[in-house]
Amino acid sequence: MYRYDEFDQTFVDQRVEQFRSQTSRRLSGELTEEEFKPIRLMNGLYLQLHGYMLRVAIPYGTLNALQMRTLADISETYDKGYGHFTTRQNIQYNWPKLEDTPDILADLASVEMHAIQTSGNCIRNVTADHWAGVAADELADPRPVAELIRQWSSLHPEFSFLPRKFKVAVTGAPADRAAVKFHDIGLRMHLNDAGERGWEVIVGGGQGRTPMVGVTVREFLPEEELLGYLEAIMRVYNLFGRRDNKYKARIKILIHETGAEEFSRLVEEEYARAPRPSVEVERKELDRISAYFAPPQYETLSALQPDLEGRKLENPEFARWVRTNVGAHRVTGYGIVNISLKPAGGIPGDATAEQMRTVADLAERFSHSEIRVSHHQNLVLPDVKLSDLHEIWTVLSADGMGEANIGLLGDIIACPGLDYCALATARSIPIAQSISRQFSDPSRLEDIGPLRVNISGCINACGHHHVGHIGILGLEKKGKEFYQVTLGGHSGTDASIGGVLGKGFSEDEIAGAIETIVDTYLGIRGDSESFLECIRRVGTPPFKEALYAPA
Amino acid sequence: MPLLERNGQISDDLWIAVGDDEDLPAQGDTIVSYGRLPLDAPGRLGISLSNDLDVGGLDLQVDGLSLIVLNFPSFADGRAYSQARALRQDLDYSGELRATGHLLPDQLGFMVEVGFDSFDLQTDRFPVERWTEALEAVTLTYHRHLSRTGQSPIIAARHAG
Repeated sequence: MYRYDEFDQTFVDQRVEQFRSQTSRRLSGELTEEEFKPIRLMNGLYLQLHGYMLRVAIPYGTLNALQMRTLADISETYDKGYGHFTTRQNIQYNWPKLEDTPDILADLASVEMHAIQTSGNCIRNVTADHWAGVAADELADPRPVAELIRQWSSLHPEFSFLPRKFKVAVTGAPADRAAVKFHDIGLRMHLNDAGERGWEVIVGGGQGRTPMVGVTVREFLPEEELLGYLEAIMRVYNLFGRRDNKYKARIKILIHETGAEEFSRLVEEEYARAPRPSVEVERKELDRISAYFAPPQYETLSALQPDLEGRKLENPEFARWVRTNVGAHRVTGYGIVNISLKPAGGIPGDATAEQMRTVADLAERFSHSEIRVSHHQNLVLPDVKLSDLHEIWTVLSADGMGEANIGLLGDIIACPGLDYCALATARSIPIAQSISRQFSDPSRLEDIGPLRVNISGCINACGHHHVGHIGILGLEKKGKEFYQVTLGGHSGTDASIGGVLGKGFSEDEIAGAIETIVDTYLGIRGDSESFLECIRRVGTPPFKEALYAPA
Repeated sequence: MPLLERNGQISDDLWIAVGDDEDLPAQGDTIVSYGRLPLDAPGRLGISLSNDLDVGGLDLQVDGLSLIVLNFPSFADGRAYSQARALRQDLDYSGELRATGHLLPDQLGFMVEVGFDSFDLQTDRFPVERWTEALEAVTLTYHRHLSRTGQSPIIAARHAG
């Protein structure tokens, strides 16, 4: 993975000292809260319902064992001994004190981490396929480009006071695990006939109040042109994006109101006008970064693993976990271990300091010290020998992380909701807990098959309910929380936005409603037809009938 | 009001801002709005651009201009950063570029990098050293092709030679 050189390190160190001075000016009253706000936001510090929240960047979801241990230490020294992994592959601490945050940032800088631009109206931390570099279906590792974008977007002098936040996601695989069609800019790698890499540029996707699938403005942008082209898009957005209404300020609204064709024309005009970064330098810099992502030395292993097969026969629970949680690695004899942070009745994405250290130890022993955070709020050990799976599963299970539910109904994505967030209209976490408790039988989950449940506690959609196969949106009416259900959303290559079923449900009813939806699906599904395929075939009527027909 | 230059010097502002309904003074350096061009000025001529103009697409003759003033109605409104970059790079403007409006010391680094030379400090809320310190807070930048920066581009140092 990428390591800082002296320049990256000095840059981040200077930034910590700058924030230390800014924080003391806020504490002394020299800066008003209004003026401090954009400064703290650009350093990841939010003001929440109960106090400050610090969001730490995990660029493209990749970190090493030492960094994970530092995250664990920070949670104990400055917070309540746990952290929350987010849908943007970051980690949040919910209880830091303002006066401690410069020290937290200094601790992060000591292990090549920061919280720069994890919030605010700037280019946010870039996200990527959490299986980048190891997935069997991948064309090439997208992370060198993601790192190039991280550096390019860090304190960008022109684009740090945008109309609204700006999110970029990249993938190097045909199967979209990074939701590139739901970002302000999504980048998907393609190879041309000569085998050269280029990027499909998708703009204007997003969720929130106005969910939209992004539109492709370039099918194949040569890699060396990437930053110049991104700047042209950013420039058009910075100049013409709406600033009169924060709910209409994202680039998707600009594209919607301008029209995709006209927007594309403006970008091309701007691109033709502006000087480009030097192509030669871009190539050199990409080559320099790419060297850090060279694959580790893999052993030549057999595809046949008699010991593993024997363990699976002995222990059906282990066999199930291998089926549900281990992804296909591009090297024979290796697997991608997906660690569920979704125990039945747990808070999605939360990990204790002890759990973080357990994962760090496992990464050191079994996965070249590397760890990933997925946008599904789970963790990944990307480079595991299949012969080590049983030991890893044993250790994870002993520490509450052995749940066999990746991609299944128990693997719920949820925003923090009204338990933490000042914007929320309803709680999300208790809903996730009651559903995961209701669907805790692993054999039943496996029988139901792939099914994504996403829960947001308000229309800002941080729990991505628009792309849940089952989406749940928490609202409030006359002081009572209620939950609206959508069906058929999907964030993959064949992206779609879920449609609302009908009248909402109370907190007590919602798990039962999910039960009814699942039972309806089980009753009508065809052979090996997934929940999403079934919805796409039959639409919502059978589900509405089951939920709302008078008994 | 004091003016801060990007080298940290503080000076008095001797330019005369002339309102759209006002006549030009008989002498002195004057600033008018973009809409009043073309214009014969008594001394050096400067213009003020509102931040909703697409500078790169303007047919603006920058040759006769000694000063361009860009506006920040709120510190959170970042359009003038893109205008500054366009003036420097698309229109090859090489005269003085000044920021005015609601500025914060913490933004000076960005402003210098996109090409601003001077800052109209419309407030005495911050001690002078806060502004000058801010000019030096971050000495490195990842940005590679903004030519007038006082900061050192990382990419140039990395790939020198």
